[in-house]
Amino acid sequence: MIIFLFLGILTGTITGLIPGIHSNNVSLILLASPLFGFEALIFTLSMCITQSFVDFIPAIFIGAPSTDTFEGVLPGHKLFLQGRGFEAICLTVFGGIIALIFGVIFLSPFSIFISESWTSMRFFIPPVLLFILGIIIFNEQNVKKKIIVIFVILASGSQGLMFTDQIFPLIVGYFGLPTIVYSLNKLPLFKKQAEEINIELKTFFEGIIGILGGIIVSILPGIGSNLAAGTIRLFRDKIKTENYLVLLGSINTSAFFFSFSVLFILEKTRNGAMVVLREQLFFTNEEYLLGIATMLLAGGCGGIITIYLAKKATYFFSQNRTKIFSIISIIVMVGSVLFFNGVYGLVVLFFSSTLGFFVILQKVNRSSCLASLIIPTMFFYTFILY
Amino acid sequence: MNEKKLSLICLIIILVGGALFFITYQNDFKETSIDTTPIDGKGIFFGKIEYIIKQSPSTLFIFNDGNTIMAYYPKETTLEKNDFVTLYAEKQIYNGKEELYVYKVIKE
Repeated sequence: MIIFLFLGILTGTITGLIPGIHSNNVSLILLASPLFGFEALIFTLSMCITQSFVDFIPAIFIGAPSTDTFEGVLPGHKLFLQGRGFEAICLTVFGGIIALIFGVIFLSPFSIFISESWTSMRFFIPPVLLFILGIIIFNEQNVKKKIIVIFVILASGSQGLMFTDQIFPLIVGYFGLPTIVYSLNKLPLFKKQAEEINIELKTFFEGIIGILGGIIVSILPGIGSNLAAGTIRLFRDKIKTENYLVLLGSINTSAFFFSFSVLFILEKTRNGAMVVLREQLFFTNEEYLLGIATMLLAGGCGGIITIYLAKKATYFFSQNRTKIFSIISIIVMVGSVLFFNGVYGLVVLFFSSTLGFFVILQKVNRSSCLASLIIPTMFFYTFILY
Repeated sequence: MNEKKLSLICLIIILVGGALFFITYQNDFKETSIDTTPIDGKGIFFGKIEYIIKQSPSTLFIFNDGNTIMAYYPKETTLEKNDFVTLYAEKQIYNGKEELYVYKVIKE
């Protein structure tokens, strides 16, 4: 059984390091494999949790965001440009560690709350999602940008409704491909990266808030860790870059942690990995406890692996290498879309990338593209419930 | 806090998680056969399909691993008569007869 744990951690490290490859995609391959029960549980959870830590290395060092970390690019790059890339990664690890420790503590009240209140709570999903879209619009600085964001929300929402079951090329097109292609000729000058870090303990509070974000992500369909972080940021006055990275790290890890509980309590899934697990489990108490233990064990390993690789990365990356890795990332992303979604996926990627480029050029909030997930979810819950 | 202290915290989580892992872990499925599996016992069974009835959305079949038993799989399959399969199943009593409740079936 230990072998599946190591395999999961190794796969999570690889999927975390390669932008465009997500543990959700690897999980889908599990459906066709003979892995089942505990084996599937240990492999999938260790892979997902490890990836939630390692994800930030390409996001900060290569500048290639994944679907979970694109909000982290700007604050992460800010520190990278100051020669503090290693510190930026360690801050996200710190957030993830807080999420693991306090996630276990909050798990019990969360389970009671969600099982007691889900029936009434789900009626609030469409209005809450609408409220979040409203926040994205009203957060823009001027009327012109507000109008552009409304257009982006309508366009991405339409794409989400048209291209059902094409979430991967949509997300890669909005957040992955345009960012890297756009930054190819605008790569920052390499600055010598500091090897010493000092994480302030008061950023700990941000990690706790991040758990709340993770809970939101695990409950609300259509909301990713990035959007949860953006929403929390809106409710807090000036949040320091360091604190924001701790927040994002915490949300990224706790989202998986609590999604697993939601799967067990409600049999609801919030990501591809959980969809696969739903098919492979019997939903016994033993599986639940083993799942928590696996996530703790793999999370600790993921933290150490990330710190080690980030340290290596500080030596490794220079401007030229960043450019090479950006080109490799583009090839991997397009190849992954072709592999998992076929030629149709490439067509979807073309449309979503076009919108993604537009958003970057207009310098508006990129979370507006998540309307492609939010609007179909709103429609679904509205027609089912009302 | 520097990265060494952060790594130390990770190490403590690994130790706690590892201890929990070994306490909670127990084998769920082991290779077994129809005659050696008690009622309510789970196991991995290998054998051949002797007869199959597809009642959408479920599948019923007679399974033979040296002994025969009725097996119930609550999903649709593409299985055919004489296919060799591996079943992850639980032996149970249904309408007074022994039956395998199949969680997963893999065609060999």
